[in-house]
Amino acid sequence: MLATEARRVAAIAWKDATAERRSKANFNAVVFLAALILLLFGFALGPEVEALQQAAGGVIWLTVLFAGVLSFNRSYEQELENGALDMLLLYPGDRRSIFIGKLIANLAFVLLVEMILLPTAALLYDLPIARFVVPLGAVIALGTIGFVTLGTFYAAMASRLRAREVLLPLLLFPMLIPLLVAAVEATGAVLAGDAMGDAGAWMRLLVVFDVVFLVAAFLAFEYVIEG
Amino acid sequence: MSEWTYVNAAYALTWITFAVYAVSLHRRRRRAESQAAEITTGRKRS
Amino acid sequence: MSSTETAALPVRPRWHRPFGTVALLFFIAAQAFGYFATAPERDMGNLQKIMYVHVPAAWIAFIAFTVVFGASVLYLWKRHEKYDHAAASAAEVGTVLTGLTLALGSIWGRPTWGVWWTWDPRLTTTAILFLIYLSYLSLRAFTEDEERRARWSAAVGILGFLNVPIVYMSVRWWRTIHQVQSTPGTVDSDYALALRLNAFAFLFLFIYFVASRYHLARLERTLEARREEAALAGGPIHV
Repeated sequence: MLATEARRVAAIAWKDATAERRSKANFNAVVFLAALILLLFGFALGPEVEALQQAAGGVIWLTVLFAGVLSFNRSYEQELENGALDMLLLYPGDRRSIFIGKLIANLAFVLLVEMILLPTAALLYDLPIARFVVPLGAVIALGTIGFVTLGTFYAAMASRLRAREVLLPLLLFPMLIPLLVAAVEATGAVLAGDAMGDAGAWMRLLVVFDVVFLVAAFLAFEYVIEG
Repeated sequence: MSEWTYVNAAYALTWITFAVYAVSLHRRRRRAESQAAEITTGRKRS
Repeated sequence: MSSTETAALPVRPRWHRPFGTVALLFFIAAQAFGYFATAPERDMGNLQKIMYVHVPAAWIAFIAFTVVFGASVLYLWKRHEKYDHAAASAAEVGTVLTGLTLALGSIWGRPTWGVWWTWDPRLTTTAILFLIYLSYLSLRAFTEDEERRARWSAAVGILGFLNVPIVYMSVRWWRTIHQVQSTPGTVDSDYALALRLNAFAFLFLFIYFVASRYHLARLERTLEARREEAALAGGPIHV
């Protein structure tokens, strides 16, 4: 029944979002790291404002990727530690609702980080985000969905292996390259005021990417979450 | 550097890559075979 | 898997060795033809000859990944370990060929454009394919349980394959947006024969190597099975 599955999804999403591992301390640490990375990019590429503004799209998305990747393995850690994953798998019901539940929780987490990250970037690099808040929001949303979809998927495997810190980026980042290119181009176009020109086309690519991998990960998840 | 330097480098690289890979496969096969044989001789049921 | 008789070691299929010999001879012939018998090209001169190794390697690298995809789908469907062996074999050989393609692309690019790397869409897609292959092999290296390794690799292989056209489209578009010069075409139709011969030569070698690697996979599986048996049988105290 769809209603039962929806309830399962909501339960898992809520549990993940409020669990101990998702405590404020962890969120704060990730936000702090993201701000730090932004600052480092500033030092690496600046101090000329023009150079920073040119690179803003790339800087923002690389920061999201580097900071965000830390949150995905964590979303499975809690279950792995106390054997709760096996318990969860014993319950009847679609494995896929586990995926969607975790996806939603991870999405909320990363979006919240981004909501702090963007104004910080706007401050450091003098970006007109207020003027283009709607198209920018759309690009951020589309890019983040693809990122979190694949991150949640690959973390289901990486989190259970010894070399999880290096293996997750190794699996995830090559797959994110089209998303990175599209998101960076769209962000750059939007911030330069070209809201419906190139940005629209890149956003369509993001939509294609998101749909393809949402469906693929959704279908393949049952094969990776099992034992 | 003449053109031929690059052409020769390309062909040499190709051949060497295939040769090294073939040798690697051969060695791994030998190792697996000898290890498998060891296990057999090691356990004799009466 | 308990048995009182140890299963025999798998042997290579009878066609393997003769096929390998033929493949090698054909390869030598095709390479010699490309190297000696073709005339220097109008624009590229003798550098054209690099195409006879670079392009076939690239084609086979992508064919190998298609085999990985097919074997992965079959594994998830039928759950027979032979499909996992096939996927792992195609992936390993494919990785070697992809690395070779990139190196050869560099060797061609340097005298042609003066740089060791360009962000050409095809070359860039090949580089990303290389990374996806490497991540596939890394996952396999770190996953010890055979069944889990097979299942996880299959999922990763399938998703990776789906991404290849998307990667290509996005890189090509990316270059167009920034109005970067597109790289000139690689093969003049006059040279198609040498290219076709070498393409088949590489394909035959590919088949040979995949079969070798497949045999190795079966051997290692047998080895693993024997180890398990021995561990179970060789208890500390015998009555």
